[in-house]
Formats: sequence, structure tokens, C-alpha cells
Amino acid sequence: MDEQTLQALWLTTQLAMATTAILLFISTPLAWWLARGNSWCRSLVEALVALPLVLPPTVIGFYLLIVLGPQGPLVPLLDWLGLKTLNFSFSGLLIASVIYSLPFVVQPLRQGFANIAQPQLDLAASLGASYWDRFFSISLPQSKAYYLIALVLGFTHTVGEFGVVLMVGGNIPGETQVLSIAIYEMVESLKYQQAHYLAAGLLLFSFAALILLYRRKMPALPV
Amino acid sequence: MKNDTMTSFDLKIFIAIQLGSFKLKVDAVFSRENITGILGPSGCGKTSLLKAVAGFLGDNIGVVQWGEKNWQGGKIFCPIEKRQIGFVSQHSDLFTHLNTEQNLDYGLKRLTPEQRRPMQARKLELIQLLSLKDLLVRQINTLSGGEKQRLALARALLSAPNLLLMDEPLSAVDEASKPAILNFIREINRRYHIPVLYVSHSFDEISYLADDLLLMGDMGHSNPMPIDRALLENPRHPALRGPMVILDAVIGQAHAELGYTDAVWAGHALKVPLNCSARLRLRASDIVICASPPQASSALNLLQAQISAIDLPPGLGSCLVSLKVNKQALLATITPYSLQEMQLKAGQTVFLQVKASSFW
Repeated sequence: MDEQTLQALWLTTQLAMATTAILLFISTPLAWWLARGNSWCRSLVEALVALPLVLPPTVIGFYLLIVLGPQGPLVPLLDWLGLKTLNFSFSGLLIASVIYSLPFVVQPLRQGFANIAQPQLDLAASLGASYWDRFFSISLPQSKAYYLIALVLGFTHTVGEFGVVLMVGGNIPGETQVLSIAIYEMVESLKYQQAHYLAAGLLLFSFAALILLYRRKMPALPV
Repeated sequence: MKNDTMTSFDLKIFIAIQLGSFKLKVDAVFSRENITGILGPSGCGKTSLLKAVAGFLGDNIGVVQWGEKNWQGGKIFCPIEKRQIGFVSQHSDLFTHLNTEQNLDYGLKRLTPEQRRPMQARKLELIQLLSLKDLLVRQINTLSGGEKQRLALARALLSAPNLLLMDEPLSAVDEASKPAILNFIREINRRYHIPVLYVSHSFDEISYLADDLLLMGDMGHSNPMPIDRALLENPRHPALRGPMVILDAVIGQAHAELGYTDAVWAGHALKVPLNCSARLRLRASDIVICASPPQASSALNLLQAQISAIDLPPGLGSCLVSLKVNKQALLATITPYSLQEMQLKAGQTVFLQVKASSFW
């Protein structure tokens, strides 16, 4: 493996880990609200979260380019940070990945939270557990299996994304060139041998991760 | 029947719930010492009543007052975890992700240190009383319904509850273990002074356990009152399978070879079945009314009584006779035909025959 490929591998790992961590963190309250709240705007938010499942990555990529760019609505924030644009940077890539992989983390968690039997929470309360205590002592451990699904899907899906990353991140080795884009470049420049190694590696990784997921006695995957 | 008088420290409930076609209205005051049985057919709202008291149904359903404290009503809503209640449901609802010991300790762990100390002692007591020792090393999913129920009961009692709400707690328990658990619930009530609201559709369980009784049905509910009086005042309530009476007797010597036990009630010696509890239950339809003292009969009990009232509602095909035996009330049902033939009248003296085996 040459240095550029190693860089791409490391960058992809960093991106997938950071994305998954951020996603688990923000998806928990979001999925809880979607599963157990009954606000009128729930279906609206739900549709928004699911959009990346149905939209072409180029559509999301295009809008992200505009939003994160030097003429976008984030300019005051960027100015404050001393930046011109978030496009073609790791931060931009991270934001794009989080948005693009959001449904793959929110939906399993939502399913898990919806499956928690209300009597279990009521009884926990009658035994003296406050709201947060109930969340951490009942809801969270009872959704463990769904957290594992969310983790694996979020991570592998981030590793597997291409279109959004290409549009927002471009193809800067060491900075925004992830594995999927490295493979694309290898094929473009007819380096089939290298492309084979990388493609097969990714295939095996994703396959193994999914087998691990399905081997456990799992509830049906919601996505 | 321990306590007949209601004090200002009672549990007051005034709620109205409507969920689709389901409607429930309850306006009642419960004793804060006794075991109150709540009897009614399935779907009449017994469970909803308990859930309302616990706070499981949220606000906006009415008023629940625990003594001086307003648990809910108006803008007030005391969170469930602040009410210090023990809730035992028919499904036992052990926490599936915890083992047996963690389940048992769930409430205990959340007490203040001062509250916890007496509960540690109670835990040892309960492990003994409910034979939990063997259960604590086993997996939740290997426990039988009755075992889960015992564990859930102990878990609730270890959270230092001031009120015990029980929703058909014996539905998963086999017949043979029921009396022991019912005795235990009474023991809990007497020993720790925890009032109990006990919901069931089983007259057997409730008449065995309850001090007070609230009858629920489609047409509304009766007021909670001592169970013997409740049965006399609501003889035709649909929650009962016909008019019943309860006789609080003193049990004497058992005569195993002759098949009966001596008992004394209202100054009369009675012969009742072997292994009978002091609370004798009797169906009004099992009492035979005789106009004059009968000759020798296989019915072992003969009581002299005075008719205090006769109720013959049109269309029911049965006639309810209220009787007094040494100032103690009894009910008997006879056909309108018997009433006509015997020409019974209020104030008349009659003789009552009851088979020993009619008591249970």
C-alpha cells in the first residue's frame, strides 16, 4: 500500500469514527423525541431525517456546497472562526457525513425506544426512579441491541459514502480523499490492481461487520 | 374489620377518564389503614383506577389526595417517583435487562440512607417469608409466573412504600400458593401499616383478604365500606355472583373424623367445614328458610332468625329476605313462589337451615 492509500484509510477511519460518535450523541435525544413525543411537527422532522435515504447524494452535496461555502448562510460563523469556507475540508466532510448518515442511526434507535414497554418505565418511577434515572437505568440498557445496530450501520455507511463526499470534500489526498474516492481515482487512472485490493478490502470489511450484526439475536433491522 | 371510621388522613379520589368509548368515573374515599378490595368484572376500569392513583395516567384526569398532600388536581401533579407507592401488576413486569437480585434492589438502591436501613432488615425478612433465596441465583426467564410475582411483590415492598397498589397480583399464581401469598399480604398490611388497594375479579380472593370493599360495574361504583356491610348493602351488584354474606366467627375445635369444625357466631354454635378461616362466607341462596323448627336433617346448622325486610323486585324471579340473628344481619334468597306459599312477612320469626359445607 502506498502512502496516499494509507492516508485515505486513516482519514476514512477518523471520519467514520467521528461521524458515528457525533451521530450517536445527537440521535439519542432526536430518536427519543420521535419515538415517544407526540408533537404535531413530528412527521415533519421524521421526513427531514429520512430525506438522505431517498435523495440522490448529488442533491445533498450541492446544497451543502452552497450552505458551507463562502456565500452561504454560515458566513458570520465562518468569519468568527477565521475561515472562508468549510468546503474541501475535514470539518465540511464531517458535517456532510453526519447529515448523510443520520437516518441510519436515528431509525434503529427510534425503533429501540419505541419498543420499551411503558409499564417498565412506570414501575421504575413507582420504585423511585426520576426521569433521567429511568432513561439511564431502563431505556438505555434495554435499547443496547439497537445501539449496536446504529453503531455498525452509522460507521459502515459513512465508510461507504461517495457522492456527497466527492462534492463537498473533493479529492485532496491527506485532507479529504477517503477510500471510496481513492478507489474511484485508481479506476479512472487505470490502476486496476490497486483498486482491486482496496475494493476487496472494503467489501470484506462491510460484509464482516454485517455478519457480526446479524449473528447476534437481533431485532429486525428497521432500515 | 379493623377500622370503620374514616379520618382526615384518607386517600381521596375524584377522577373522570374517557378513552374512546371507555368511561370511568370514581368518587371515593379510601381508608389509610385497611386493605380495600376493588371487585368488578373485566374492563370496568379497576386497573385504570389504580393507575390513576399511581400517577401512571398523567394529569388532567381529576383529583387524588393522599391525606394532607395533593397528589394531583388542578395544576398540581406530584411525580410518580415522589408518591412512595408500591405497584404490583398482574404481569409482574420484572426489568428484563436486570437479574433477580438487581430487580429486587431497584427500589431499595434509590432510597435515602435513613430509609434504606430498615429496608435492609425488611429484605432479609422478605427473602425468608416469600422463600426468595433460591430465586436470587436464577435467571429471570427461568422463573415461573408465581415466582416472578413473589419477586415483584418483594421489590415493591423494599421501596419503602406508604401505599400498596395491587392489580390482580395472583393471576399468574397457581391455586395452591394463593392462600399463603394472601396471608402474607395481610401480614404486610398489619405489620408495616401499609394500606393496600387490591384489585381483582375474584370474589374468593377479595372476600378472603379485604377489610373494606368497593364494588365496580357499568352502572358506577359503591362506596368503600367494611366488606360485610358492603355485601349487605349491595346484594344485587353485578360484580357479585348473587347475594353473599360474610360471618366473622370464632373458630373452635376441629373434629376431623366427623368432618366438621366448631365455630361460634352471633351467640350461636355453628358447624363449619374443616380448615375453614374465621371469616365464613355464605351464599344467600344456600340458606333454607323454615316457618317452623324442622325435624332431624342433614343440614347441621339451625338458626332462629327474624325477618327484617322482604325485597321482591319485579322481573328478577328471586326474592331477597333480610334476616336478623341476634342483631347480626343475614341475607337469604328464595323464589317468589316460596314467599307466596309460606306467606312470609317482615317481623316474623323463622328458622334457618345451613349445611356445614355451604360455608367456605
